[in-house]
Amino acid sequence: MRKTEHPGAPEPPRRIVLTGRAARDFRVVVPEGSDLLAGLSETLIAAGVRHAAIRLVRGTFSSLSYRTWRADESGARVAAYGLPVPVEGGATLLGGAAVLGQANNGGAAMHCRAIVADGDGDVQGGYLPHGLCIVGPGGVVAEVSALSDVGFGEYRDAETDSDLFQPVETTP
Amino acid sequence: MSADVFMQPGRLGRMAVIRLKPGEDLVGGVERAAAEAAFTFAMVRVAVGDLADAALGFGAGETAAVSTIEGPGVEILSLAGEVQPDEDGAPRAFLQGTVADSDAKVFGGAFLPGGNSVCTTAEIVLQEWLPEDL
Repeated sequence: MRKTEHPGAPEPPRRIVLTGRAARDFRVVVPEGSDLLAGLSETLIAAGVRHAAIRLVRGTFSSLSYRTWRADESGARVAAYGLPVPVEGGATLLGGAAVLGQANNGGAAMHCRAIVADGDGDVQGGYLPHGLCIVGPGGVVAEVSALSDVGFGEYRDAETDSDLFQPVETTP
Repeated sequence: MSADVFMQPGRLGRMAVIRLKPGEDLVGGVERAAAEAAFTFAMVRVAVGDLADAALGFGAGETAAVSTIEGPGVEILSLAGEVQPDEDGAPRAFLQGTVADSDAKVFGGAFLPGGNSVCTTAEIVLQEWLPEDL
């Protein structure tokens, strides 16, 4: 197993764990024509849910692009996301997950990955960028576990030189 | 006659939000996080993140094999699993799912202990399972 060497020094602890009460759950359907990430995050924020664990259950996309990691040729980081890769012929959702939390600027941030079948039935997937995942006929169904007491907050991680989520205590 | 189906009544309990940092093993990290959260039983609600490399097992018996996926930056696309106590009561994580390499080629299987080191981050939510009979 290969280790990676990031630009910053490793910072303890190597594992952050916070516990909170059981969450309230929601079934959310993002309608055709909406951007998936915007539709999910705006709906949840409007409902007062600022931190959530989200499972993508089923659905289709009329257009979808994703990004995958590549070795960072600049050498600044271990890896960096490549350009968005469009899925040809629409996409059928096979599974996916997302985390909703608080961005550096105090707004909402969502980290989402999904696996899909393309128009030829081939399977592919990656990190879903904002604005590039337009829901298709039938919508996309998600199961959402709203988090209480704890959640994820974005911060600048000096070790990896990236904006990342880490567990945070939250207030109602 | 096959063995009886096991059915355990219970309910879901507390949530644990977790970040594993670079170099942490995915399976071992979930087990240690469950122990820190004092979860004896738990289910994975969500896991997103990336691995330096990945090692996924599939098949059984003589057909068992391992897919080794080279990173850096193997994306976790889906992950399901649970934590159960071993015979000594220590948490053991059983995680399976799909990953994509940098060419977006998808692989699936069980995440092997010691074979899936976090590259940048892994954001995980566990939910405690509370059996009625314990």
